[in-house]
Amino acid sequence: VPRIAKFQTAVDTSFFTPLQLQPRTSLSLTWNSFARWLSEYLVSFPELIGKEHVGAVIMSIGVRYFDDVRFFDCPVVDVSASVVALGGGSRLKLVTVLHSGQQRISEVTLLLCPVRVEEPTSLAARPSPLPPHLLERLSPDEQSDAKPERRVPRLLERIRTTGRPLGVGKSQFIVDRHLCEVADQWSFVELPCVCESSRNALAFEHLGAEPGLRHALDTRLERFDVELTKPYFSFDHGLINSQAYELEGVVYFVHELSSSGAVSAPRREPVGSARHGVVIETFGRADA
Amino acid sequence: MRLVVSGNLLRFTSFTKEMDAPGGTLGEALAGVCARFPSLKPVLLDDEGRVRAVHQLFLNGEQLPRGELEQRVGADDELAVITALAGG
Repeated sequence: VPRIAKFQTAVDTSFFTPLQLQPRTSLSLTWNSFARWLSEYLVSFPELIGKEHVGAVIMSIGVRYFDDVRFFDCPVVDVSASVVALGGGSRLKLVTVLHSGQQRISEVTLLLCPVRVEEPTSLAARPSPLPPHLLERLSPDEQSDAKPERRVPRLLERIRTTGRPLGVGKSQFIVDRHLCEVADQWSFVELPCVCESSRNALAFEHLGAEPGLRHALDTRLERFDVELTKPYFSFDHGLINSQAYELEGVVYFVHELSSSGAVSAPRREPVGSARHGVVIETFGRADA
Repeated sequence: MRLVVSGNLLRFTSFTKEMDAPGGTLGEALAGVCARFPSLKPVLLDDEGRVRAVHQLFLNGEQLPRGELEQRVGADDELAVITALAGG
């Protein structure tokens, strides 16, 4: 059985919306659970990056909400995290469960790509499997050859081929440092926030014509699924193209993340690939 | 040549996003920029003076293969340096 890192934290009001544990909070607690798992079973996060020259970038995110747990139901959040290395350490799968007493709040699955930090000041890095001396510290149950599931492409095709379009929108954001982590690279934890801004703008703009868009405002987010292709860095200009669909009573928001210019120079055309990833938000119960 | 830097490289160029980078070749132009911003040099170049593989170079929008520093450039050319990933 994969080893588990557990901790408990008292909630404060900023953890919640009126409807649910903030998706950002789910991701923040998840990333902290990874740090705790590392400290307990491998090395601390600073030691991993600073001494082992190993980091990890996020390839995919899956957040799924379960019981209807709100602020007044929930004095504490209990967090449990486990890690499995896939493909000889070329990927890491982190699964974090957040609960409160007997109530299961959410489960977050992150697919991580280990990287080798090539330069210690900028922390610039390249993909590289977990080094053997770290990999061998994982138990047999923490290593697998299973292929990681890719939910986003499958769901995206289904939504776009059979869903009814409700509206489109576009928004921009600047990756200021409050959206970044220690390497001046954007922090995935903030992704629900920038997507929500785009979603809200779309919903308010089209609400009169499509009353179903109110689900984006008055019901909780059920799932938050992401596939990322490259990171943003500090001061980049991000662009979000958002589309809303209805399918079998469920409302989906698809957010395509791109650069609005040549990274730090927004008036220019993008240099290299401008695509950074795709996010799908699900409102309403869906089994797919 | 014009040099455009971004993201996590900006703190090594005093947050200058675009700059003139005189020189007959890419290597000479980058060496001049590194002389102007000394803290950029170890971040951008390895011990043998090659651009580290963690950075991608785009000359007039086209990605260059690694090690193309002998390529001649003119005043109208533009080189963008982009860091692909970081380990934070």
